[in-house]
Amino acid sequence: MKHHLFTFNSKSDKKLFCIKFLLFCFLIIVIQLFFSAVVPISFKTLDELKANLKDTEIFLFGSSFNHWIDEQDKDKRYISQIVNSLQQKKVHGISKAAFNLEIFHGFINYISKTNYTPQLFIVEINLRSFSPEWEMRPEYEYKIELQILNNDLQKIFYELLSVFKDNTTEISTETFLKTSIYKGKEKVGVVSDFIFDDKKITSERIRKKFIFHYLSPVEKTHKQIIALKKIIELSKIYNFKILFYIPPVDYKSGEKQCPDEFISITGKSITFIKNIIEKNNSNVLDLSYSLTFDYFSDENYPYGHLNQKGRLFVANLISKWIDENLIEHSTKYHK
Amino acid sequence: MIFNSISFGIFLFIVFTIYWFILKNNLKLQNLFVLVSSYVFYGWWDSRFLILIVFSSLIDYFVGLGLEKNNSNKIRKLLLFTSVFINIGLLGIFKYFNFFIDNFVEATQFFGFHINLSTIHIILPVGISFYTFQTLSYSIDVYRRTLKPTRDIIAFFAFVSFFPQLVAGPIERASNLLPQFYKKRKFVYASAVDGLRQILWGLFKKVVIADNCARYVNDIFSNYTDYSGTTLILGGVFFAFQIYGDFSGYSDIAIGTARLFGFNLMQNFAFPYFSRDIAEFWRRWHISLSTWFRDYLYIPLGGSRVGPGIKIRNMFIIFLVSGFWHGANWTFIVWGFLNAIYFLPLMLTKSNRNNTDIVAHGKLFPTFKEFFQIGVTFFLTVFAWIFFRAENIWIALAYIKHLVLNIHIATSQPFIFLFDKITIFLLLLIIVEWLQRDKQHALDIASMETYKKWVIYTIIALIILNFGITNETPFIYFQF
Repeated sequence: MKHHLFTFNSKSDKKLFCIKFLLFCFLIIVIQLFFSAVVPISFKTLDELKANLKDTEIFLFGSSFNHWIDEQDKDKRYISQIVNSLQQKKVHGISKAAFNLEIFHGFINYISKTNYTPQLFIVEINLRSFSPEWEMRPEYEYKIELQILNNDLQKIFYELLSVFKDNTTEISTETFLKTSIYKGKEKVGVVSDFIFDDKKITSERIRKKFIFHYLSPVEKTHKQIIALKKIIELSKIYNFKILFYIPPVDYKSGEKQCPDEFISITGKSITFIKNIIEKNNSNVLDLSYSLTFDYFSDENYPYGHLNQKGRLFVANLISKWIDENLIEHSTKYHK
Repeated sequence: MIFNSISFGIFLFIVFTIYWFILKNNLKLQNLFVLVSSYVFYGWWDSRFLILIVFSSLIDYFVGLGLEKNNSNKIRKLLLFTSVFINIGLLGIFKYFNFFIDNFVEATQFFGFHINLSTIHIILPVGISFYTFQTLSYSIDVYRRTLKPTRDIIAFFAFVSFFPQLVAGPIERASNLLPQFYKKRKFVYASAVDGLRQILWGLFKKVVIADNCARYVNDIFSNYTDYSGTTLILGGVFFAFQIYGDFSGYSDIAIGTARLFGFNLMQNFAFPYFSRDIAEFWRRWHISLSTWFRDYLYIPLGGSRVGPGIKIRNMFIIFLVSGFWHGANWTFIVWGFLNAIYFLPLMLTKSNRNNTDIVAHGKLFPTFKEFFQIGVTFFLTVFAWIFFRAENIWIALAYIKHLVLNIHIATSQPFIFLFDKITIFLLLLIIVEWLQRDKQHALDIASMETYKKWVIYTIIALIILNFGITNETPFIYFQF
């Protein structure tokens, strides 16, 4: 029986159809996996890092805290750009909304696999990164970015699956909205109670935002703490110099909204973080209670973003730290 | 469950296997299985709203039987009114309730009264505009005695909820789809393969064209004050391709999927952007909806066999209702109104049926005149799409104002958007669709040599995998 490929009329038609379809899928998967393995997959901030890797002496990793610009600001420079202008050394900032210690570990891990060692990594530890607001928000999961940076095998399936939307996030919006919110150790609701559809601002909503953003418990099992420890470990293995810094929090407004609780809870979190860093002989610049509300961007909710005065303040302190502590280190190649 | 998801791929594979390999030629079981699968497909999104589909199906099933049993005009009219009232009522509650309340309150405030009517939070059930129109068509056809009512409740329920076209059409007529549930279906290899080709092209249009365009559209429409007039024009053009890729892509996947199960759905898009005038555009765009309005609204209103005044009134009604069907927002009504305005000169000069053939049929290129006509028609639609896309009328007007006032500014801004892979994909779309414009769908290439076809499939699949955009919204027409 002569079978023309697409004009087949016997009972085995269905089977032939399925076999050919599976064959086609297999062909596509093989080609795709081949390309994915051969052609490096990247993303925007990694491309920026690669482009600046060779001549950058100091990398500053941050969240939107680094690059947030207030509409009224005349000076539109990011914190990293101000530090760069204050330094003789080239400082390059890598930042994106809700970038956190997990992804910073990924970047440092990526750099460790190259044969280049910058003189210093400056790594932001944002208190908000311990909140489900960042931790559980699907768009802040950065799953593929972590796979690429850590060179996970799954990354080669990325293009294959991402088009069908099933590989980009593990956390669903529903899970995010149902995640519990804690004030210290006390459960005070779920995420959906703390985000609002409309733009109405009330005192109660601001109070809720302070709780949501800053008062989650920081424990040793937290993903961010695990990532912090991994960064410290990497720094020891590769002899990287690292400065961790804790950005300022509008603590006075926080305390006003949550009296007797805000400083007490955030203080415990900060001490816990600093203990881990200091026990491992690493460096930490704690700016958490260094600024009052007039240094913060005029936003409705406490996001911790700074205005130009605030950015200049933080950049100056970071630059001063570099001047005082970065004498003997020089950029070098390592094997 | 959306078509461009792994879950749908797995779902389709399981349903296909059980349908053809286990249930084989048992028609009743196959129909029951289609019904259960359709409910699973819909319930994946929100199972609570399955009750609406069941309710709407039950009403029209019994209305159909009632219409057959009764010869009294009065009772028959009452039965039809019940179907129309309930189906339109469902739409009214779930889709338009808040719109009417808001506008009523605003209108009373305008006249100095202050009424405090608060709106309620109503979730719009996916696909409600589609399946209510589908069931309505059944009742109307049975009322007109152009269709015999069915006693097979499973077939009828499966017809209403048939998963490939349940949430975004094509809006099938009972006279076309329902009889297909009565006949034994045979697996036709060539048809199934062609269905897969149509699915592949549909996916290309959705995830490569529509979702890539969406990135720029969202940026340009959200920050229109930052962009030059020429960039805003480009924003409109991108949206034209976004909505075409999104909606016709969905229709292609729906039609292709149905063919895998031995069903033939109606063509919903016939290369509308190659139209030479607005009348032709509307014969080629969302065909299932425009013919629905023609058959169930325009013709009952008198159609074109009435005086010129009534004819114009009817035409405006059709376009305004069609606009309103898309959503509870004045932007859609203005969009419909604009299309009516475009249509008016053609109607007055009786030239609305001048272009019923395929443009430049048998030729590689159109004539200069045809090219000009296509260009003008396209830009008229782009202008109307601005209203369709904008969040409200005032934003649409501000967008247009900014476009006009800043059109003179020489800028390289548009090129930032054009020097991107999307330009290549848009060209690919236009070229392929132009070459295939006399076919049922753009990838209707059954007669081509096998190896060439496999090369084409592979290239398109790889483009989808490598350049398809993720994390974008589901199909736009779900919200209608």
